[in-house]
Amino acid sequence: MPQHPNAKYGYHLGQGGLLYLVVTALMFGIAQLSQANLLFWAFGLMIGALVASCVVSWLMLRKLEVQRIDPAFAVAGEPLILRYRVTSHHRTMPVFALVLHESQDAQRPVWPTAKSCDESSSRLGGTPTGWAMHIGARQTIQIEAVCRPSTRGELRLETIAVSSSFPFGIMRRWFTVRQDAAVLVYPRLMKVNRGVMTRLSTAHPQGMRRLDRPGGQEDFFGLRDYREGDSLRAIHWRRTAHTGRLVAKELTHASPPEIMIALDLRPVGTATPIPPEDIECAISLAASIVCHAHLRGHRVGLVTLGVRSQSFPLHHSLPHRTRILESLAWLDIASSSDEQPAISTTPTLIITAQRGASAAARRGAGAPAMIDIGDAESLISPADNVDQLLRTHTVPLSRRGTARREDEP
Amino acid sequence: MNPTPLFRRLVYVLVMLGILAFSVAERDPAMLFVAGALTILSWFVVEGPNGKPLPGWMINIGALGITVWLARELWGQPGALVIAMGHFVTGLQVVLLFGRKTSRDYSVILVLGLLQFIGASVLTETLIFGVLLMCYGVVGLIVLVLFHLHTVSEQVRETTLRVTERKGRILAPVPRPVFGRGCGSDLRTAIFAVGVMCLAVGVGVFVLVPRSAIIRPNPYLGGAISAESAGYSNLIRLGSAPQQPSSRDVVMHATFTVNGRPATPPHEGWYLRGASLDMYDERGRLWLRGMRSSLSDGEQRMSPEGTLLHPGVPPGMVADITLRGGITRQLFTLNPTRSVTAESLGSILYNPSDSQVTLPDPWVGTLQYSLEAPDMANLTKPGSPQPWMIPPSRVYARGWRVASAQVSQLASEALAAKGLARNADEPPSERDILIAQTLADYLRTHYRYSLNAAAPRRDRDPIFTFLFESHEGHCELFASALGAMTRSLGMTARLATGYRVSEYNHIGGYYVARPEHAHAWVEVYCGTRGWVTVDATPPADESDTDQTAGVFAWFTQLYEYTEHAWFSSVIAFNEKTRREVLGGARTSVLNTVAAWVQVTSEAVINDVSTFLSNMQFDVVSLSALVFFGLGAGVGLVSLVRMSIVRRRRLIALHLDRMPRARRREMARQLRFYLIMLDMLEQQGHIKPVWQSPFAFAQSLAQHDPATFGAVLPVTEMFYEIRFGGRTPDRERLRWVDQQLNVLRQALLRRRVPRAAVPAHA
Repeated sequence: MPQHPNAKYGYHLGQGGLLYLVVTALMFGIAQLSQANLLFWAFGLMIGALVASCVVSWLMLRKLEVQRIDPAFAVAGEPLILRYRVTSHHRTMPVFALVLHESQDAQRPVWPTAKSCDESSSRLGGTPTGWAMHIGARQTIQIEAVCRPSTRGELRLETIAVSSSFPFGIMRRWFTVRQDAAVLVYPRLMKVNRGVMTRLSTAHPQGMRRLDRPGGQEDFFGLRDYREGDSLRAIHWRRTAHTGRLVAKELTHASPPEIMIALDLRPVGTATPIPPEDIECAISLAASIVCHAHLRGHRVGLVTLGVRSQSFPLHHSLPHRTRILESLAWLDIASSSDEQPAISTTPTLIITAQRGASAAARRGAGAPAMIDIGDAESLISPADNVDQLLRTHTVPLSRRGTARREDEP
Repeated sequence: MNPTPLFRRLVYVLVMLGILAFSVAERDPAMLFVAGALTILSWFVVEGPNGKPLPGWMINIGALGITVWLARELWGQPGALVIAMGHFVTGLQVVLLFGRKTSRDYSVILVLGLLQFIGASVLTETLIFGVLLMCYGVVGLIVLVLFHLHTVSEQVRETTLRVTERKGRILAPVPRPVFGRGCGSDLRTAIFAVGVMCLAVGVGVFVLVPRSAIIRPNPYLGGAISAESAGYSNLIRLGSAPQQPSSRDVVMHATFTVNGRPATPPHEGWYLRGASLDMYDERGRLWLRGMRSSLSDGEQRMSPEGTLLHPGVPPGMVADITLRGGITRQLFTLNPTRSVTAESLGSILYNPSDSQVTLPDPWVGTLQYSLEAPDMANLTKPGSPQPWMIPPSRVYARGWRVASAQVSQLASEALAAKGLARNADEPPSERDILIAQTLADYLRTHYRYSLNAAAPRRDRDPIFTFLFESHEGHCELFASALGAMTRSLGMTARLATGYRVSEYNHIGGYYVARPEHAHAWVEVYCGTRGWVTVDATPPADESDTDQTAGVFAWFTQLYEYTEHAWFSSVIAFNEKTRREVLGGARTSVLNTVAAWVQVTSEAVINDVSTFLSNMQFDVVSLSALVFFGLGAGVGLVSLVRMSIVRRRRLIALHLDRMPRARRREMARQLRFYLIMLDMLEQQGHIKPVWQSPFAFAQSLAQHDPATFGAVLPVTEMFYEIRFGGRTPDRERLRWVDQQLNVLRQALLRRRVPRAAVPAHA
């Protein structure tokens, strides 16, 4: 009894199987012609191998349960590991050479080869294929398959194709299981040069430390009465001695450097529309700077100009960074908008998709820095380790339900 | 567990087995030595501790050299196509072993190995090759399974590398092969099971595939037993020394059944005649078949029931003969033979005057046929005429020209010593048997058997030298001398060559003929008694009828019996055997089933009747018995149903992996969740097995929050109890009941036709 009621089952005779059938037919012809009994034996064994190939693979795939462990997120251009949990409900029979891959066609999945490349596999950067050499009876194992999403946005995974051609690879028995899932793919993340980040963060006067709030651990801010629960180290002993009551000192908060990014996707003047790849590059640049700024402890905010999108005020937290990335991932470049962002903070960095815009822009004192994608090539380089850039990531906020992190505002 | 290292080792073993098998088939030790040494060398060169494959250009040059070698062989021996192709395939395999091997190269090596074995199967049919074939099959099975695992691994690796590679950099490590516990033992068991399955299907196909009635001889099968080494010749050359048999290979298997009972030793030997030689050429000093006899051969079509040679001969004896892989144009028959049955043959050439059976074309390979003959014991009784016998012409097999006066005088003196005499003008009669036997006795007692007799002088006839000078010689000289003496007395006599079969295999229950059993004797025409076989060779020439003596005799017989079984059941398997096997199997199965049904039904009826007769039933007890039986049946069905339902509940509650001790208590606590699933299922919302309870609840809630809003809290309660280890108190249970009521009411309100509800499974 199949574990997936709606699974589609079938056999696939590949090129190797076809060749085998031809050789078997040839063997039968030679045996009939020569009437040599040894060749009849060989022919019988070849038929036996064919039957065994069909029967064994059919038996093995009968009681398998496959479930994709849906990934939390992905980054465009970076490997995404898809994990599958496979459980064998056979009492005694093991399973060998089990291959899984993602497929769009549930009726007739295409066995992934060097030439096979459908729409889904191009979106995934290839066909994610995983395999298990052996699954024992009543055992559950986890199989990994690697893909590389090519573009940001929502990546839909639909059908899991499971197959095995054990023991001889002549006939491939397969079944498909429909399990819809959507993975959010963040924009491509690049490595931003350290000097650039330093320049961007110190370019704005407000990026310096501010001393206008008490309750921190930095410089001296003022004195107040001692409150129960204050540390003994906070007591200002000299003032206490003068006044005769306990007086505590207050220290200032450190204000980290901040970057307010304005992602400008509008064409300058009446120029021709910006090519989509340039827009994608600008989005990727913005996402990369957001990640680097977060890593350096900067408060970061984002406004998007030219397309309909959410604006983010200056803040530093992992969920905030994740929200910005999600927003950039969902950005629909086809939905143009002239609305002004409802954030009063002045941008410290303008990223524009228009090539050459930064050179043409007027630079004055206090003017925000401007980067166009023509400059980007000198500022960024391929990231060595995206995981390090993202650090330990949380589940995307859009899918976390009611769970909240402590540092979330 | 990584199958690749074992696979790579076994590929070498497989190639070595292929080389060994082809060398055995071709009987070419030089090839075994050279190719085997190169294969071993390739292992050390490529797979050794510091091994490194040879560069591709060297492999290409080697392949080119092998191709040139093939062309040279085909040019030199155009007929030996299979042997040349075998050499080519072997050479190519060895060359490929020296290079870097991808999956494609391995598959090429395996396919070449298959071709090599097909070629070897054409060249030989010996038991040793059969054993090698079996070993090759076993190793090949393991190699193919491992190769499949290796190939799948490589393919997945390549597919993954294509995904993860960017400008020469591997962005993510390729996932390693995943395998569960007990992989090695499971793999061994699987290979064994697959092998048994292949063998079973192979046997079935082998038996079921119909064979052609006419088999074409295999021109390559000369290597097993050549005509020279078989010891038999269809003419006798007296001018040269006889050749000693070089081997003890079995030439022929024969079983004799007399009046339905198998003939076993002791027996003086069976004379299986091949050629009938009626003419002596004094110049060439050879006995040969006369031109008139050769021209009188008539072609007779073979029929499945047997071709009658002498319709009047009474049946009494059957001889089943298997000729082993030599080249022959002769069918060895008995004197006289009533009929011949050979499934493989289309026609034979038969001459009634000399009873010689020949084949239209030379036959190469194993040939099975049956002879029907009269019972020899009845035939040799005095006064048993053979009216079917065609009398020979007056000039056939008569007259003697070599020193006829001296030979006649010698024969007369030998007869006179026994008080006998014969007139040269006397017609053939039954008395000639006694005269021929007397002359044969004379030769046996006065002459010595020797294979090492001196070569005859050029100026003297060998028969004259034997009779009057040397007084020693081999069977051909004894037969020639008897022929000369009988003919000098006016009798009609011819020589016959063939095998005198007397060696018996006690394990297999059949007679064996070897090259050393090749023999020559005399057939004398005795009027109404027909042609009578007379052997003048002294017993020194006769091989032992019982060869059980000796340390290794039993093992030798066992080996030969195995070989016989191999030949009779595999090599010589033909349409007739196939029909017999199928018929026998059908009969056996039907008989077994019928016997089982009969025995079982009788036993059951007996038991029931005995039980009923022992029990005294009244109406009440009978009713109670029926009631009890029905109750037991209903109870059994209920038990099975309960077991199935319980199993399904455990799976639905994710309790199937929980220890048995906790299952019952947990199932009782989570009963509310099953109630909810039942309610949903009635509305068409079936939870898929692969979907977690939370995902299922979430999908329902997203689909219709108003209706399925209560599913989420109930599911959360399920999680609390099942995975959180929380025990529900009375208040919580009451709350759950309320939620279920809410859900029930919502479902009732919904009243959507079941077909319209989208399926979540």
